[in-house]
Amino acid sequence: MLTVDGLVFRYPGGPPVLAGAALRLVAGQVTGLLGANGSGKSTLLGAITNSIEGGRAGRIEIAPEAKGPIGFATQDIALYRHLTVAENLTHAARLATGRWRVDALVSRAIEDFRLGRLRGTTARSLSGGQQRIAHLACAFVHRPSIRLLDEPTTALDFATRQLLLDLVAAWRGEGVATLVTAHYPEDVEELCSTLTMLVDGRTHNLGPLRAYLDQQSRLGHVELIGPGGTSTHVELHGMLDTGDRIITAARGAGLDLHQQLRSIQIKPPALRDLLRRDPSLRAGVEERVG
Amino acid sequence: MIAVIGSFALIEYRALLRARYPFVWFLVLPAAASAILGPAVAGLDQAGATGRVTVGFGVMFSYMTVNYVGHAMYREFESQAWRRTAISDPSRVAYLTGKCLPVYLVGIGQLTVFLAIAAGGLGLPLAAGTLTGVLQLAVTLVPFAATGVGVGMIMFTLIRRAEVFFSLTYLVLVVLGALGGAIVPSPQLPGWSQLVGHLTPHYWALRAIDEATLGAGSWTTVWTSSALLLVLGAGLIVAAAARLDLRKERYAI
Repeated sequence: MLTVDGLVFRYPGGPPVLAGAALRLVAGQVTGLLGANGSGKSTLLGAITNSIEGGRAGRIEIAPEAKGPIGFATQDIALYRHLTVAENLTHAARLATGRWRVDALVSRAIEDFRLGRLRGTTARSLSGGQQRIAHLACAFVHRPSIRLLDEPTTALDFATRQLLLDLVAAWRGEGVATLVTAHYPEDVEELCSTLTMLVDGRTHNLGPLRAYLDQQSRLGHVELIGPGGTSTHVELHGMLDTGDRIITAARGAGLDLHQQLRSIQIKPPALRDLLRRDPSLRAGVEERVG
Repeated sequence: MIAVIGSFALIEYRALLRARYPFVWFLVLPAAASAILGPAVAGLDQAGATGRVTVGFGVMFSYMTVNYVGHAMYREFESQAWRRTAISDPSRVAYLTGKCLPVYLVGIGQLTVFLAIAAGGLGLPLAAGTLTGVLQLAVTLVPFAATGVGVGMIMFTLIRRAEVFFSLTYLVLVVLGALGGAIVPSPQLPGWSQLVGHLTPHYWALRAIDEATLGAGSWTTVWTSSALLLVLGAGLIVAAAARLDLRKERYAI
């Protein structure tokens, strides 16, 4: 749906923030973009949508079948404070579609984002979480095929976060291509199907998230349970997809398997553990997970 | 295009309506100033002097349109909606028209109210008769109000920070008004002020208004003044549209 290749971007008078970023958003997939503060995540989204001032080079290609302008929910909440939720949605829909009559789109957004009770409330009277949801609804009221979300879980309570997770899951089924930026690996794990890291203005596409986790889970993090039930956590290195390999690796770690080993548990690691371990990606997250 | 103009105009109309305080600047303040200071401040003692002073302050404070154009334009940044607007990439003409149309209409309305009060209640004559006088005033205030909007637009494209913009609007209001003869009529001003005053839209507006009211009611003076105001207003708006970049971040207060 969207292909980005060799994207370079610099703010006026500044050094390049993006140095050859590449990305591919596919219909029905949610791509997670993970990176530390200042790594260029928001800039990448701004450069893709051509909504920030600066020098841009590289290729950005949108599939001809993509509907509407790209929907972009910025990190900052974008709502006219003096307008009601329904008025904000109506304006956003008119702007995106260029049509005056947008009642059907607005009604659908109010239903999808569960804003019925709040449709007549002015934006300034909403709570932080309600504002975030109304902001997301405005960004996607025109039902675009490509949706970008910059740190969407910021300041959300549990229920609102769950609503967001449900919405993004539903978009997969509708064939929407979604990109979500996040500081926290947990958010990416819950929301996304593929993963891209942004480190120093360069993207590292790690591919499908599940496959990445499966592959990485065989690379270590084994718990050895001793005779007395005492457990020893050992980081074993190498491919551990067979018993032989685990035994070899455990011996290599200096363990007396006959004396000590009662059982072995391979624990699927969390994304944060894997990212911490990978030296090429560490810079992108160590600020957050370290 | 119509949807975009209408949608932005509706936002700004609602903002003006729900804020209410703009009408203090546009109506209450000039009315209070003219009532407190009276015709003495203008050095006038002829018939209709009170009306002329009232119209002068009305003309001066009509330039609050510059300030409220700023409110309209920086609202995109205050609300953080500017990125969404930039992505939709509306035509710059449609965007500016929608954003500034309500303020422009308020400016025309304010001038109409002050001229009506001055002519109807404060003895300001209409030299060429009621109908012709009203037409002469109309062809003057329509382009004059556009110059206020144009000044606001061009200032917005040049100034990144809202606090700088708004500070300058008060300077513009007082300096252009004073130089243009809104407080003290131009012939009573010092020589250099009269000379520099020719560069202000206020001078040309008041030249036409004075001709239609206290003067001989000549269409020639009215047409030349309003034509010049029209060219100036249109020029400012076209220049602002050419300079406008919706992707350029600005900083609201």
